[in-house]
Amino acid sequence: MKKDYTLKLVLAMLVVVLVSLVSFVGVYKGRNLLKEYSLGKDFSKRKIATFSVVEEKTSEQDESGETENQVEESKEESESSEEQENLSEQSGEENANKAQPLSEEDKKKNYKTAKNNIAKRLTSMKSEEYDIRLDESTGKIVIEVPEDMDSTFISEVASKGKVEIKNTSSNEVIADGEVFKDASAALRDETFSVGMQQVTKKIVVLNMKLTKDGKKKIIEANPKYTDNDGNEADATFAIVLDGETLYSEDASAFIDIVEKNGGFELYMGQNDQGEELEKDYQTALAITAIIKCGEIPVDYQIDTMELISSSINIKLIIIVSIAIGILMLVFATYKFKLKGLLSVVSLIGLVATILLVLRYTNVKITLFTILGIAIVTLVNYIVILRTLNNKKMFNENFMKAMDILVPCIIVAIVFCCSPYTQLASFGMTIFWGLIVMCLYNFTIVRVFVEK
Amino acid sequence: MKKKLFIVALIIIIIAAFIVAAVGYNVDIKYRNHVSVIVPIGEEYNMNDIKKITDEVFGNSDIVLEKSGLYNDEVSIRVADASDEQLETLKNKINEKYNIVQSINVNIGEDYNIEDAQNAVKEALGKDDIKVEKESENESYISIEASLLTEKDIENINDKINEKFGLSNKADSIRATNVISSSNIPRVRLMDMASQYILFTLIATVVVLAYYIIRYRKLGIKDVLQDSITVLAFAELLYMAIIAITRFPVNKLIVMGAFTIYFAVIIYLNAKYIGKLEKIKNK
Repeated sequence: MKKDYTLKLVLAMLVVVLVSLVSFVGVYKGRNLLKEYSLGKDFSKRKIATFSVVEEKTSEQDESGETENQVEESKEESESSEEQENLSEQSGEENANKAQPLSEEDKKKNYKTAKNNIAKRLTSMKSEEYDIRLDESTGKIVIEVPEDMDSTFISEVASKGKVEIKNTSSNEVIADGEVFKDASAALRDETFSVGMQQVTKKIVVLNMKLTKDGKKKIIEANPKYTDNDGNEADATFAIVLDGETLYSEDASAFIDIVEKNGGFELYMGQNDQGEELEKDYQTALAITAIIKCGEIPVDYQIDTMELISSSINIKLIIIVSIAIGILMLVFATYKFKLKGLLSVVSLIGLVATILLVLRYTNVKITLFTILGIAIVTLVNYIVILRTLNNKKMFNENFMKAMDILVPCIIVAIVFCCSPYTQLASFGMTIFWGLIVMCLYNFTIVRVFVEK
Repeated sequence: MKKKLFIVALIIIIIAAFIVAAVGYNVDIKYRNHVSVIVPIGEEYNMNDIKKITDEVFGNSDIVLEKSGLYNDEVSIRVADASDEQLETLKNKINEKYNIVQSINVNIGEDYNIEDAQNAVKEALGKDDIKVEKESENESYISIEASLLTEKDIENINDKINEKFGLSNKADSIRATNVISSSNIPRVRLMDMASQYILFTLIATVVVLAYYIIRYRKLGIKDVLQDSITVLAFAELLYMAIIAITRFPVNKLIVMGAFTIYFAVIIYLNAKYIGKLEKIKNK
């Protein structure tokens, strides 16, 4: 009987050592075969982008510059007096608008709207870890995002986001961004015929749904326009984002699509794999975010983009963890001699196993992940001490501990659903940590604790 | 004893409330208005050396140092404020330590006298030992061999060159790699920081309270609910009060502390209710 117990003990110790070696040192065959940790913003580099407000030209500048030129050009070029009147009326209206500079309060309101819309865009672009700062007096915005967010998308996040449906032949605006009810991006398998063969490719699809009113507006739009010679011709309609055409089609075909589908389905890019496909998907996500979150009432330009490394001292975290571990070990050994020592040493194996699971479940490693691991380890330490301290069996003590931990499990599950990395990683660590703890306790810790 | 502890805690919370109302929390420098200074060193450096230099330049104020740049060859310094004089001293000390040399290119045009350009640059930088020559590949540019500069130095060079040659170049047209730049970084609102955590913590709390009510209904729904909310809120308030009184900087660690307390309290409450329920069953 004693021989069996010793064998079990040695085997359990070997498992602890093996798991610890694999997790902390790695498995090498030329390179480490273990999956890399997915590091969160706390432990990896991050990008800090600064956006400043593009100053609008003053009305004086406009009067002396653009407007005068426009009027002069129009005088030279236009032959009919009607056209001249229209143009001067238009420029007059523009001047009237520009002549009224925004009050400080309105400016601040616009800056706040811009900040909120940028935050919404960042969330919509699946950037779960961001900080956004606004200087309310100047409108300057600073965002901090993880390193893996493409720089192009970072600059797009503060773009004006003016979406229009236009008759590009006459330059008439048919509808603005308000007509879009929803937008989404998806990866889809599409089958194409290449010669005699059927080829399935992954493509990025951008879906844009119109509101009822929007649909009506487009259907009722005039699909013709009058060209320079005074003849009526077929027009081209287009979806335009910040002056760039996203999609254009003959007006009648455009209207047909809207009538049938109540929206648009655009294929983004021609790439079907790898980084390029990912980039297309990110572009689609960026457009989706812009359409869904609305226009930004302020013009922003990107000033700087800096790449900053983490300032968290990992060595310090390890030293503190080891120090706490030693204290736990000394206390358990002092109170329960060899049994206490072995049981607490087994906690190293528990931490190693949790870290292995976190690697393969792609849980982002953040400061909250470390907190999650600490909580699970501490709970297990308490379970071990209780078992060693009372006459109840380990199973009984463990089940009681799990009963007490039910609220933790509830909180962990709720946190797992959070779109924010910090909270999600915390929830996932506790969730996986408790599962690992159950399995590990019944296979390894029990051997050390019970006779 | 319990009552005494409760009164002491209550006094702490009230004192903290006054402190928060008067001066607010001591927010970590990373989250409040500060100046971010980027120093491109261009080679590997020791953070301890930089720390010594920044301590000398900026005194004992809060300073956060981080490595930056694609190759970690730049240093990001976050400090409450940085005057032009401080940046100048920082530049001199970094130059002294790392002996940085860079080539700066300025477009002057086709027709110019190199000696005039040399004099303009010397005047701008206030130094005599500056090497200025025509760029070999494109003679409309001059090449200046300089050490690490500040944005103000670049502006000075641009102004002097413009003045000398009647140009209207902008400072950002000067090509330089090692320039100390500084920018004001606005604060992060504490509410923005908290908003990432509040919703899901509230949802989790509601679900946990529902669990307590259902499982421990025999202890009295009202009592369980009242007790749970009071203990949870009181523990968190006391924690925040201690942070406010001790003037500990509010940062992510503080948020983590709040979550640790949250977990400890919900575990404690559950254990307490289990014990009470067992007592009732045993009776």
